Amino acid sequence: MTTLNPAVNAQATAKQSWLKLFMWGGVIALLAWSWNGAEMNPFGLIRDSGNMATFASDFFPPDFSHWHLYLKEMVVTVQIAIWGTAMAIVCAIPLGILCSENIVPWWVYQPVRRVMDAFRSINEMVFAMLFVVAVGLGPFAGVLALFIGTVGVLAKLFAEAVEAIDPGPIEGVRATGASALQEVIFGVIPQVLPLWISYSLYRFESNVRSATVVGMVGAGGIGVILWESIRGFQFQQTCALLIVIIVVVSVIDILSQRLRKLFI
Amino acid sequence: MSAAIQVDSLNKTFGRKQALHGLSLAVKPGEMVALIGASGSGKSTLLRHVAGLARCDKSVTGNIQVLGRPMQDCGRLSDEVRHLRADIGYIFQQFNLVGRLSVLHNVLLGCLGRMPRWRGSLGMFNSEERQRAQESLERVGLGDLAAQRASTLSGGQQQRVAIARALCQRAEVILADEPIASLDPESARKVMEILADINSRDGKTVVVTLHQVDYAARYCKRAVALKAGRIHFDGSTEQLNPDFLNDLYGAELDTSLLLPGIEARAKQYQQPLALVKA
Repeated sequence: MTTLNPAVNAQATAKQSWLKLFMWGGVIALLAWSWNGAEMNPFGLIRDSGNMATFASDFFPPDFSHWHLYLKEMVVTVQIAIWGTAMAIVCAIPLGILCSENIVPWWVYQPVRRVMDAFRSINEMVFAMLFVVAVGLGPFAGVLALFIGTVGVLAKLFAEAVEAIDPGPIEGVRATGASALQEVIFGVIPQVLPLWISYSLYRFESNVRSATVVGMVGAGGIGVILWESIRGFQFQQTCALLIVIIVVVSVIDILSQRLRKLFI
Repeated sequence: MSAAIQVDSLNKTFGRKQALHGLSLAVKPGEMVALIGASGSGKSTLLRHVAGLARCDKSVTGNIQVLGRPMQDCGRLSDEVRHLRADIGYIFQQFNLVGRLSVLHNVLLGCLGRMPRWRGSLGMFNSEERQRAQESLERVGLGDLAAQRASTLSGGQQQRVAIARALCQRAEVILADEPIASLDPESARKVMEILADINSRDGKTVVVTLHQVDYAARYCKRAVALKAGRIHFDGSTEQLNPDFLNDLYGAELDTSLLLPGIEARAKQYQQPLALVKA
């Protein structure tokens, strides 16, 4: 509805433009405040550009002499992602339901959500370091690290899908005398399944990316040799490794995207 | 014989607005009753309480029994509510089917209340249950659509699937909340024919809320009219006349639209109501 009185209109517009100005001021102030803390130094990029060029040239030509090892480790990396994601999906289904405010009372979803927040707020690398201590060096530590982080993310995404459903079918199922669990199985899950599959595939994509780095702290996969090549200044090998990672991750992204489109 | 549905001094308040005022109602087994009244008069609220889908106010008296078993009392649902719901078929205005499941699967959901929990939860319906679901679908004239996804059906067809679900449920009492409010006239007629047939042939108790008073007059012997959460009229549908309906709907409606079936009666009143309002 537009106001007919032009004076009132002008006043409202003035108020809006002040608000806009204030918001932009806030954004600029935030950026300025962070400048020092982040030790921003754009001139360094220009000053040291010569060094950077030398450094970059060390990467070429890429050294693929150990390509079969790289490929083998990359397969392990994907396997870590597969198990980390699969275990997370299984756990995220009940936890996602327990995070949904339209399904469970607040004294269930609030604590469960907070635990999921905690899982999400700590990066996989941190969990990887912890699990390396707990279960020893190797891919299994990586699987567990990805699993914890992914549970946190998927439970939240699953719950968001559940909170957006139409309550009608749930009531339809309830009216037949079904149990609470059956209301979820037949009233909720069929409605959210396409979204859940899509989210799970998306998480699998990001887990393949994450799995390439958990190896740096000893949790298996291609990250182990990547870290070794960087520390040994074997930049031509590093370059080859990066190319392998880029190709495999891209291929998986594309395949998974195709697959996701089928479900939405 | 005890009543199929017994409601005693039911109160319901939404926020600060009281929707039902000490409402009492008894429906005998095998009756087909139309619940009529303007929007917001409380007819859907009443029906939801009878099915145990809503709870009445806690502080005051209020009691509902269905088939002689307690459904809710003073705002507390009975512990047996899920068992009791299995005996009550509920038809929703918006059908409330699970759109992504097949038509047959939707009908099979009607069996959930009467089978072991674990088998129901795993969706392991046996051949006898599948047979019953298929027969229910055939009775509503949709036997050949069993394999289709429910969401691909028209509104009228979805409502018939919902009725098949209640049939498969073997409910003794069928509660239909505005079953035809979002349907075209032909679909509405079919749905009402099926409900009337379930009532007359199977002897099930049917309570149906309706906006269209002519449907109430055509299919139900007894009508209960609600106005502002109280029972305003309870008697034979033959007693419904334009004056009464004007009163019920606050004299804001063209009653010739509401009740075209008994227009002849309107003529006796000398007063062309349609013109008065126009």
